[in-house]
Amino acid sequence: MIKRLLLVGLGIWTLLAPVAIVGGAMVMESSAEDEECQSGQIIAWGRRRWCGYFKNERNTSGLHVRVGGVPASVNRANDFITLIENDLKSSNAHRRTGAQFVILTMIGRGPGAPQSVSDPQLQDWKERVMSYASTSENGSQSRGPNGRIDWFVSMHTPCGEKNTYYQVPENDVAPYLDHAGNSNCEVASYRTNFILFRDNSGAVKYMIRRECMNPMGDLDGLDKPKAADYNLEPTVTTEVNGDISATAAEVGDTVRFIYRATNTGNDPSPNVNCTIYANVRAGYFATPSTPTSGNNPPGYSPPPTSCPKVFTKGVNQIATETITITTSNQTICRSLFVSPASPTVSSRGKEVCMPVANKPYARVFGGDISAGNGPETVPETCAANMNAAVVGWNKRAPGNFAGAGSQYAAFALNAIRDFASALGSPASANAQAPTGLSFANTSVNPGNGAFGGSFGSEPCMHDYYGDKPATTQAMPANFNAMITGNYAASGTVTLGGGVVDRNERIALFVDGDVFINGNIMFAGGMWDINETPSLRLIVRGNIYVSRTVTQLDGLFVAQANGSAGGNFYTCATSAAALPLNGSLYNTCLGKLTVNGAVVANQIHLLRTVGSLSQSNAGETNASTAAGEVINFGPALWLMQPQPPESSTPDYDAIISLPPIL
Amino acid sequence: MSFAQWATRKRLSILAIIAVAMAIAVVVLVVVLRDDKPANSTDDAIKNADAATAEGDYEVAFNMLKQTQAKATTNDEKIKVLNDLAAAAANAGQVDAAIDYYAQKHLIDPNTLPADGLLVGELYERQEKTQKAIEYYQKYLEYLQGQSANEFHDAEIASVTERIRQLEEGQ
Repeated sequence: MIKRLLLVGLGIWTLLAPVAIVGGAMVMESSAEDEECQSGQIIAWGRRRWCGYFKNERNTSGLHVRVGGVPASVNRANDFITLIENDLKSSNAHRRTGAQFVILTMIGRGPGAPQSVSDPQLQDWKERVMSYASTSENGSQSRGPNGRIDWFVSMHTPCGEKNTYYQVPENDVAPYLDHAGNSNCEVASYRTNFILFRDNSGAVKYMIRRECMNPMGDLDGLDKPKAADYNLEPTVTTEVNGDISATAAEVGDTVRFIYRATNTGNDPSPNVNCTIYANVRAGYFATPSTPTSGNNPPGYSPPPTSCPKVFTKGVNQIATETITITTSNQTICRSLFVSPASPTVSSRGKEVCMPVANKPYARVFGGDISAGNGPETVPETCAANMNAAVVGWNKRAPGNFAGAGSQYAAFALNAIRDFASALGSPASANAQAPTGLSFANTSVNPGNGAFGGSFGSEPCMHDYYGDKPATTQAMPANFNAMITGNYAASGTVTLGGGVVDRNERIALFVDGDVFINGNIMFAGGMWDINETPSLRLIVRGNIYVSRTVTQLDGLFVAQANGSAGGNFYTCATSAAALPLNGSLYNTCLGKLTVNGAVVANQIHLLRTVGSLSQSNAGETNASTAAGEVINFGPALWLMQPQPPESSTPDYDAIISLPPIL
Repeated sequence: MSFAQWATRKRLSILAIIAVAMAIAVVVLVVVLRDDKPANSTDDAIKNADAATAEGDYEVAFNMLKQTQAKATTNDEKIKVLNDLAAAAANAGQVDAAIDYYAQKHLIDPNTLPADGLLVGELYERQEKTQKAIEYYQKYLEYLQGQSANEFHDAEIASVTERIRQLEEGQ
């Protein structure tokens, strides 16, 4: 009985409480609870049907939680926050209580006093709401790391669904259950609009009926904000003429940069900025490990991106950019930065550099190229070099095997890589480019650069230095001072170049290295066969051809002396080999034409003028794109072999025997 | 019982067993075949679409119902499907289509319009066509006022009235 009286007493106090509030007295929340709210089935947040969230008092009728409901203009998180926050500050107790209820149930606070929202609770609520909307919003749906908000969902809710209402006298919000007597729940086609907060699995976390702003359903509350699990790795990939495996480009090529960012996290990113920079460096420049920000030269216009944008899980393409290369010997770099790259990384970048290089090539006209012939030790005896290969750059394109190649044959004991034979064969010829005169050509795949080779055996390389006569003249200082005869020198010799006049047949034997510092040319005009000039430079050492030399006429032989020497360098600045680095491009930027032949243990084709992309199938020895052109012409072979001791060489007949290439 | 009698009885028993087995097989076949046929394709589609909506797959729900629309032959079926198509289109963010589906529904049965007034009004509100929204809310309000009272009848009237007032004030 005492308990009963106490409860009645408390109930009276509760009824008086609104009077006290209106009167401006201290607001004191009632601790009195309706007896009927003490037993029975709990349906929501620890409350029984009809029993208020804050005061736990029973009242079986009331109004909507927000009279007028949620206007249709509220379709973004900030709209919603503003609506509720304004209600929270409203002088209208109904509005205020509705807002308090929504906020507190959304943050998962249990029922009871106090009937107020603290600043930290308000902030917590805002952050939770935003965590369902911070990634993107379109007026129908918002998305965030915690899930999404569907702002307008027209659907039917079944009878028995939990609903809420505003208790007017109690100034509270209480739960009840929909049934046929208080809703249209029994009409299957009846639909009303809801705002649904869903988690990332699609499960509804909080449901508000728009018409009345009544929270419905289980009201579990929204999840606490979590940092979005996103991690962006920017990438820049390149294609050269559509080839993704190309590591260098040439003048005339089309280079395509593809900008992407891969989100390796599980969540979409927030809006992320993307910045593309361009940097062009002279010569070769390795891709830096730290990507470059800023443009050099300035004035770069990056391709359009859709950034700032949201990056979903996986690969996201940002932009593509296509440029046509007009200048060689440079490196074109592009860097892509994404900001922020993850919740903890403010920015991340990636740079890729595409060198623009020349792919220089050599062409042989009127003759063959052969690799692997061993130096003759005794007549007809030599040790072949089974590792000897012919390597060049070739377009590999059917119908246009332009680039490195020979008009006739190519022999190699090892591979012939990217070097065509039979270039220029008429269509009627049996042997056609690119491998018709490659020895051997039994296993070829020009599309992959395999143009033949592995010939098995080859004739020995003649011991030209062994032809040195017992008696020679000392080489004069001035090349032009040499007339017909055999000359000799030793040590490192510089040949300043000059002219071999008609009727002059010169053989120069050098025991050492030779640096050819000027053009050596046969005299111009027309010659009778008896007056054809001849030059044989036979070196037991290396031959270095100055980078300034453009023409050499004659036979040039570089034989090894033991294990040293035997190299023929087509570009040099002194009697020394140039380092094989980026300096070659500028140092060796000129064409060398050899009218005759070159014989050496190793031929270093170093001229860098022109590039493969500039070659064409029909080019002649006048080509300005080829780095080296070797014309094997009759001026050489009509005059050989020249008997070493003979002053009056004479032949009864010269005949060409099969195979005739 | 002679052997001949026993054999005859046994043969009859076997025949009876075979007959029963065949009858069972026929029944099973009929049931299976009947199960393959859709019992009611529009109802099924609506049920499936409702399930998709509950899962949040609004586009899926919309597409399901679009595919079903042609199967609705009676006016009742058409009204049902159009009602759900309108809701599904609205959920999928296609407000124009939703309004159009409601219009088609109301052409078939104009009596359904007032009860849909709240939803159509909200669609117009989403389009910021305030006057049209008020017009439909008004129809809904009249509809509500004609309904018998229940626990929250007055609350609903109060809310719709307030919504109309706010919109009129905002104009």
